This record gives sequence, C-alpha cells and structure tokens, in this order.
Amino acid sequence: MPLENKLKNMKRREFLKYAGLSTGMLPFLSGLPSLAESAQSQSRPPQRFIFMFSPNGTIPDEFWPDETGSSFQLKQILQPLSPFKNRLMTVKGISNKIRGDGDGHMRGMSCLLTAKELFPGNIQGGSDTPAGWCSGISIDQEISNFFQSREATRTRFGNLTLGVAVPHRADPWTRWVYGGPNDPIAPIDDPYQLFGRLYNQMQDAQTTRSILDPLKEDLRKVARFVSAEDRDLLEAHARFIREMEIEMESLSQQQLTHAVPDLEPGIVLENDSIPQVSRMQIDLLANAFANDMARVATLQYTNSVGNARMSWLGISEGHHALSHDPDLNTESKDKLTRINIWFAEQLAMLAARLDSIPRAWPRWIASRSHHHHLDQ
Amino acid sequence: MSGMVFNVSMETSRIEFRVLIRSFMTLALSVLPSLADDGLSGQSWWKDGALIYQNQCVDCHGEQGKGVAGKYDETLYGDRSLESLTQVIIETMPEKHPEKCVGSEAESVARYIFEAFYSPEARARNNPPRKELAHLTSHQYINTVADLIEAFRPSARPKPVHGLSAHYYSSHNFNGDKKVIERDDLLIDFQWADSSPDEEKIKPEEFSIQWRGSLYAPETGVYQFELATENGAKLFINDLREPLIDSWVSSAMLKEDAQRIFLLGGRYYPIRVDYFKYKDKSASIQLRWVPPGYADEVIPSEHLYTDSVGSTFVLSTTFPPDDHSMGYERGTAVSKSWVHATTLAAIEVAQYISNQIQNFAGTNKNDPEFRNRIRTFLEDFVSLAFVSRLTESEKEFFVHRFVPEQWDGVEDGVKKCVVLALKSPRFLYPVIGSGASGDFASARQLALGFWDSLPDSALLHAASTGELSSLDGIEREASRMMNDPRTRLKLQTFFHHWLKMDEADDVDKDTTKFPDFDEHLLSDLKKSLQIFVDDIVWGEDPDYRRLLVGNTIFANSRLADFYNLDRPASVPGSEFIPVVMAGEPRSGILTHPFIMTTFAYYGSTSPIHRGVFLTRNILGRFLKPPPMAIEFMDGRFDPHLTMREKVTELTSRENCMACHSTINPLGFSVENFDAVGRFQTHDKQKLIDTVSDFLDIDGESIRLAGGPDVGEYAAANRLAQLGFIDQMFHHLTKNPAAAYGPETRRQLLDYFRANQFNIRLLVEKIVTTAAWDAQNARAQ
Repeated sequence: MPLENKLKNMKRREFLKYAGLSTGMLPFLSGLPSLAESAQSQSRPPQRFIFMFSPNGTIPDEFWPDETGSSFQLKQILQPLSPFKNRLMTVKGISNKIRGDGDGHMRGMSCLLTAKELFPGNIQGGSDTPAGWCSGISIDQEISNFFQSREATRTRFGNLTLGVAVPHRADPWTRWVYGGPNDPIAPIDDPYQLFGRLYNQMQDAQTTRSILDPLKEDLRKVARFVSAEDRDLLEAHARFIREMEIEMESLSQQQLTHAVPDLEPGIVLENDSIPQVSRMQIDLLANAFANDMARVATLQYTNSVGNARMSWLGISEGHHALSHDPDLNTESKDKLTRINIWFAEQLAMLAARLDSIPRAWPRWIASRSHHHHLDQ
Repeated sequence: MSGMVFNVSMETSRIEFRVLIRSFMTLALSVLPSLADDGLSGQSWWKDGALIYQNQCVDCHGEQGKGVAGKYDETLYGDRSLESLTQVIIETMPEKHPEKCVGSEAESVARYIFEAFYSPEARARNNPPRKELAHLTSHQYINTVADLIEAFRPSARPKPVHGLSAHYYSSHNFNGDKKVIERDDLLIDFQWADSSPDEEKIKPEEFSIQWRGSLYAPETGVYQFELATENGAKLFINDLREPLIDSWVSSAMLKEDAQRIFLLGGRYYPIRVDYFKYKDKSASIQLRWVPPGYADEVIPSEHLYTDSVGSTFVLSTTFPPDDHSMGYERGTAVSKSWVHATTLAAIEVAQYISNQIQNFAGTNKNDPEFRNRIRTFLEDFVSLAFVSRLTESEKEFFVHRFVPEQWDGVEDGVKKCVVLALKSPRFLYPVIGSGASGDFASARQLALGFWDSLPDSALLHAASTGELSSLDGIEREASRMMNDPRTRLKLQTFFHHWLKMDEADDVDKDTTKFPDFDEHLLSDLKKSLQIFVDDIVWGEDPDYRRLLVGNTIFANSRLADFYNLDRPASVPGSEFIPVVMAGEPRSGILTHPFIMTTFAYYGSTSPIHRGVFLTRNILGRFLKPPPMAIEFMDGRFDPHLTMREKVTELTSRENCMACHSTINPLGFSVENFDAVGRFQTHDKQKLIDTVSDFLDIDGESIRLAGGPDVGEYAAANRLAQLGFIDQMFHHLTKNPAAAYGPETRRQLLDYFRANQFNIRLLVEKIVTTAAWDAQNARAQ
C-alpha cells in the first residue's frame, strides 16, 4: 500500500508509531521516539517543537499540494513557505475523531492537541450539549514534561504558550493547551507581558545597577548620623551592597547568546495591530529559543471561530463569518485564501527567524488548522 | 561539684532557696541603677574583693566572670541575693579548699562579684540597654509599603453592615434587564439542588448571581480560599480584574477549587463572586476559607461587609526571618539574603508604581505639565517613605535626576527613583529617615508602635503643625490611633505570642483517647480564647486581672458538646457565646482548654510545660535553661504512677529543684485538666491531687489548691504585672523598657495600677512613652 493511502486509514497513535519507525518519516517526527537518544548527543542541535494554530479552516484546493513525495508544487496559500520547500512536509489525513459533549468548535480547539473528549459542563456552543474543559493533557505539554524531566534538555521555561489576539476569556473556544484534565493553560498574547516574563530579571538588574552609586553615597552620608555602636550594622549593610554589586557585574558579563530584542513601544492590543503583535510575538519566540529558554511552544492566532477583521488585507468582514459563506461565493473564497496566505506568511516569518539561529533549526513542519468548513 | 556552684542550685536548704527567690524579687523591682558605677570601685570592699578575686577565683572564672575554657567556661551571673552568694562562697569556694575563703574575705569578694558583674544591676550597668539601630522588620516592611501606596489612593473603610451585596439575574449572563432580586446575603453557602433561588422570579434552568463587598482579614498570613460549585463561578479578592479562582467552566461534577493568597491583617479587601448556572442538573455554591492558623469554614459573615473598598498593595517578595533572639522580632541584624530581599521588594514596588504612574501622578504624555506632576508625586512619595521633609539637595539627589525630559523615559525614571528610595537606609531604618528626634520622629514612633507602619495623613498633619511637641498632643493622637483595626491586629499578635497561640499548629492528639478532638475543635478552641481575650481587651472593663480569673468560656455548639457545657440550644450553633463551666476549677486564660491542650503531651497532661508557661509568661519569673536536657519518657515509669508522681520523681534531683520547686506546684495545680483541657478527677484510678505549697518570691509558702488559686495569686502579683508590661513593651516598641530610662518600668507599673490595670491605657502609655522620648531625644 502506498504510504499516503496507508496513512489515511490509520488511527492517530498508529500513525505516529508507524511514522516514528519509518526512515522516510524521520525528518518529520524525530521529536518523538528518539528524543532521549538525541538528548545525549551534544553535537546535535537541540530538538524543538512549535505548534501554530489558525482558526476557521482553509481553502483545501488552494492549500494541499496535488503531488505526494519529495517533488511537489506549492499551492497559492503555502507559497510564502517556498524558501523552505525542501524542508517542508504537508501531512494530510490526520483526523481527530473526538466526539462527546460540546459542539465542533469547542472540541476542535480544546481537543486538537489533547485527543481527549470534553467533560460535560455548562458552556453552551452553537449546537449540541453544553460542555466543560478537556479531559486530558495536550501533546506540547507532554513533550515539554519529558524534556524538563531530563537534565540535558531542561530549560528555564520548558515551554511557552503564546497567542495573538486571543479574547480575554477562558472557555473551551480559547484554550488548546492543557496541563491535564480540567487544567487549561492560558496563552500570553501581550508581547510586553511576554517580554517581562522572559527578560524582566535582566531589566531589573539593570535598574538596580544604575542606582548603586547613589545608594552607596547615601549609605556613606547617613553613617554620620548614627552612633559608633550602631555603625557596625550599617557597615555590614554597605558590605552586602558591594557584594551584590560584584555579583551583578559578573552576571552582566554572561551575555545572552542572542541579545534581548527591541520591542516597538506603545502597540495597543486591538484588531488592527494584529500584524505588529504577530511579528513581536514571533521575534520574542525565536529569541527565547535562540537563548534556549524553552524548547516547546504553541502559537495561537485568535481562537476557535476567531473573528479577526483583517483590515490590513483590505478585508472588512470577520474571519469566522466569512468562513461560513457558501463555498460557491468566489469573493469570500478569495478573501479566505488571502487570509490563509497571511497565516502562511506568519509561519514563514517564524521559519525565517528560526532559520537564522546558528546550529539550531534543522527541521520543522507545517500543521493544519482543524477547522474545515470548506472541506465538507 | 564546686565548679557547678554558681550555675546550679547546690545543697540548698529550703530556707536558702527562699532567700534566693526573694533576692531576685528585690532585684527585679529595684530601679535600674544609673549607668556609672557611682564610685563603687573606690570603696574599700571593692578593692579588697577585687584582689581576692584575682588571687583565688580568676583562674577558673576569668576576668569579669567571663569564664575560662576547660575550667569553668560559663559566664558568672545570676539572680542570687548577695547573702546567698556569700553563703555559697563560704561553703564551697575555692574549689576543694572552701576553708580558704570565709568570713570577711568571703563577704568582700562576694560583694565585689555581685556589684562588678554578677547581679542583674551590674549587668545592666556594664551593658546598659539602649535603643539599637534597627531596620524595619519584615512585618513592618510589608505594612509600610502597603500604606505608602495607599496614601496616594485613599480608600474608605466599609460601613459596618455584614454580609455581601447580591444581585440575582434570571439569565445565565447577568443581563441588566433580567436582574430580579437585590439583597444582602450573610454567607455564600447555597444548595439549590434542582430548584432555583426564588421559585417565583427565577427558573431553575438558568440564572446568575453577583456578590460584591469587602472582606476583613483578621490576621497577617496565607489564606486559602475554597470555592465549591458544580456550576460556573469566579472569585476575585483584592484584584477585581484577575480572578483568584476561575471555575467558570463546569464539568458536570462538584468542583472544589482552592487558591492561596497572602493578606495583611487588620485590613479590608474588595471581594466579588460571579456565579452562573446553565442547564446543569443541580446548583450550589459555597465559599470557604482557611485563615492562617485556623481550620476551614464557610467565610463567616462577621468578616464580610456589603460595602466595597479599594485594593491593598500586598508585597509578594518574602523576607528572611527577623532576629528573634530576645523573644521578640527586631531588625537588628542584616544579612545578604535580607539585602537581596530588599532589592527584590523595591523592584516589585517600583514596577507596580511605574506601571500605573499615570494614575499615581495624575498625568499623561499629552499633559504639558507632566514633568512637574511626576516630580511632585515622586517628591511626596520619597518624603513619605522617609517620613521626613526633603531638603532641596535631597530632592535633587533622590528625585529630580530621574525625571526625564521626554515621556518615553518616565517609566524607567520612576522605577529608578522608587528603587533608590526603598533601598535607601533612610527608608529601611526609620530612625535614620525621620531622625532620632523631633515631630516626625515622634510620629514615626507612634505609627510603628500602634501599626508597625507609616503615619497616616492625620498624624503627619499633627507632626507638621507642631501638635506632637506637647505630651498632650501625642496622647491625643495615641487615643485616635488606638481605634484603628491595625492596632487591634497588633494587640492580637501580642496575645498570640504571650499565650503561645501561634504554636497551636503543632498540636497533635491521640485520636484513640480523644476521638472527637480534631482540627476543627482545635480551631474553635483557639477562636474561643481569642474571643475571650478580645472581649476583655476591647470591652468596657479592659482590666488585665480579668484575663486571669473566672470560669466562663466562649463556646459554640461543637465546644459545648465536647466539654459538656450547658449552652442554650436556641442560639445558632456557630455562635460563640459566654458559657459558665460550672463546677470546674477554671481560672480565665490559665485553664482555658486551648492552653491546657497546647501545654500537654499527645495523650497526657504535662505539668512541666504548663508550669513553665505559668512561671515565665504569667508570673513573669526568670528561668535559666535546664542544666541538663532530660526527656520525659512516659514508658520509663512504673505504669501505675500518676503524672504528678512521675514528674516529682523525674525532677527530684536538687539541681532540678532549683527551678522545679517553682514550676511543679504551678503545673500540678491544673493537673485536673486532661490533655485536651477537659475536667478530670482521677489519674490512674487515683484521685488527682492539685494541692502544693508554692514558695513565693518573698519566701512565703503559699498553698495552691488549683487553677483559681494561681489566677488570684497572679492577678495580685507585682512581678507578674511587671512581666506583662515588659512583654507588651517589647512587642510594641521592639526595645526593652529600660532603654527608655531607668524609671520607665516602675512608672509604667504605677500607672497600670493607678488605672485599674487597664490594658488599653497601658498600650497607649507605652507607645506614648516611646513617642515622647523621640520628641525629647535631642534634649537628652
């Protein structure tokens, strides 16, 4: 049986198993069964995983290459990835057949990386029964837990859960990362907050260093006001300040492999700033990986049924609303194609940023959004 | 055995022991001597004694009695009277040749030793107590930064209406036009099952409720909040933007979410609960908490208020523990980890302020006056942090240099300014910031004494208008500050410390012997004692002596059941009401079942623990550490012996009896309360004997037949009263009373007695003393 036919009929776990054992698929799935081996091998670049989510499906005709194997033509939507074509694999036919409570939009998001059903609950979708959180861990967390359990692959954060324009509410439409049953993990979609998380310690150290000289001067000044008996205490205090200064000095000399990125200040988190926020998040993600702060990440654009209005593409309708337009509406189809090209551009931008990291990013994949309104 | 002579009681007769105790009493009550030796060293007995000491004693005891390694390495000091010391020397010294030093020689050397370094007076003279330079303790630090920030966004206290204000909606999404009920709920504890909160107005299928108000945190510490519901709910505490518990999505089963949050006691926090039910089979919600040191319970209405308040800044940086070597926390030591913690804390505060600088300074980037406004805010901030008026050069040094020309640098500049201010010794050491004397120094003492924090605006106003330069003015402020909830917290912590209530977390009892004794009962007991103390301290007659007597206990129904008390069934079971423990020899706090429980073993009483507590904490007596560590091992005794018999046997040695002749009678007097504080009449089938003869400090033998005798004795005892004053003084000012002058203790005792032992007046008097001292320090 040709590989692609065989894959079509496989269950997800069988697929992974098969793929992991198959030489041909190794570039794609090197992350899974052979992690331990690679962790021991210092000479190989670190293995990393990024999962990216875009909502509302795609235009299948403009997305999937017609050919299988190594020689294929990129369709319109994936064109932005052409610089990476020889390292790109499109995998079709993975079907997450999750059933149970909740409507398809909720399941499509919250079960995408977990492959587990939602608990029954109180959140009503557009149809079907109300549902709650997902009942299992997501695969990014599983991988990250594995990395973090080993000295050789442990990083400061393990994984980063990022978002772009994710609504400020927690429900099964807005969460796809789960630490375990009933344990959704919120994405950070504010680049300034993310920056703080990644680099605050260093910023704080800089602030502190900048006031050490006046502080020492102040300590000298006030020493005059205290009695001889009490001066010992202030001297000990001053000594600890000097020790702290020396430690900070030596810390600051341990440069990061890659400098702290400059963030454009003053970007307001709103619909129209999505392109800037996306670029900032990608910069921060690539930088965090370059500095080996984490090896697993998720990057979530909006949410299930996300309704971004991509005014920067000249499209005034919301994304989700468009995706429900009849397939025959060529105008809507054209707009959806342009939206999906934009998502591919974001992925290409991320790939390019990662590619520029020395000895770091040998292989990666493009995954596909779950949501296939036009696919039916 | 002669080497042991000064440390341990030797072959004392009872009479000698009496002398010894009496002399201690005299010393303790005597006015502390002036700091000079008053020409003692010119006296002939001093010269003679010093010579004898050099010839016969110094080889073993060292210069100034400091000891000699390998010979007698303990420092020579104690509370024997001169007579007793002389007697010991005559009988035992020098070692192996006591005949070499008798008669007038012994008298001279004894007097020299006594006056030069042995007696408490001599030690005070050689090492006079003083107000040591101290930084803010960690408790003071977190309170200070909370008030520092609150000063720039004042928040009113809630009106005294208990419960939460509730809005009920007949839809699941809080639609304004579906609001059907507005009312106050005392608790959040509802089991609606498959019905609705109001059959007429709300259908059971869907509804939503929002509760708002404020929560009073009685103590400082980590609170655990627990939200149980099978529906959707969010709990907000202190921060009304980010929920502490987000349980919005249900999973068709009862969820019990718990989150912990550190809160400062004596303060009110905004609280909100959003709740909705949608198509779930049943509905319920319960909001519980575990306050620090207590068991979990539904948050009682007395801690909830229907009014909402503003948020409090609660620092999350943790500090290393403060020095506790004198029995109370003081900031008299610095360490690397403390310096590090002050850096992290300064950054945390700086980040908080710079993030909201527009609100704090009331400006924004489009304001042409933004530089002035930022500068003014920072000047006020630094000035309040130091409790001092800034000079022009200090403004330049601490503030102006950080205010940038362009708006872009504002956040960074504000951060640096705040970090420098909070790292400055002027902030960290109150006496440096506000100076050792003057109006601001007095204000600082008042605020630290009552609140462990900064002066509020009224106090600063009083300081800047010269009102604190008179004792009247200070007293006026003191009576105002006494009524703040933060003062209540400060006194509560005193009683926790004095009565060792904070050690209750370690209490563990034999569940086979005491099957109904669990953490809830223990928690109730602690609350019962707390209410008993509060009722006296904050009631109409705050007489210290009332703490020590009487057989009333505050009991809820669980305590009434366990202790077999006659509590009216008509009163709601959760309420603590005064109940008489009829027919039991109880005596106020001394025999409160909480005290009896904490000072007891796993399965049996402990007369030693109880006796030590009564000796030290209640009677204010000095006890040296035991000369040797002896463990009480129940299994080693003849199983037929009563506890009293075992303890008597264990401590029968003379060197034990030096202290145990005081400890044991006190411990035995409450032997008829078992390990969980229940009244008992028999131990090992024998009638319990609570009668002992106790040697008073004046050498008088006093018959103690039970708890009430101890309580009455303590209530009238000067040393006990002085001990209470001393411990209160330490707690309030973090300094010994003697550091405020040799007459201070006696004056306070006179004042306490003249005012019917009024605890609140004593507290005011102590803090006023420290504040007035700061006002006058310059003159001294």
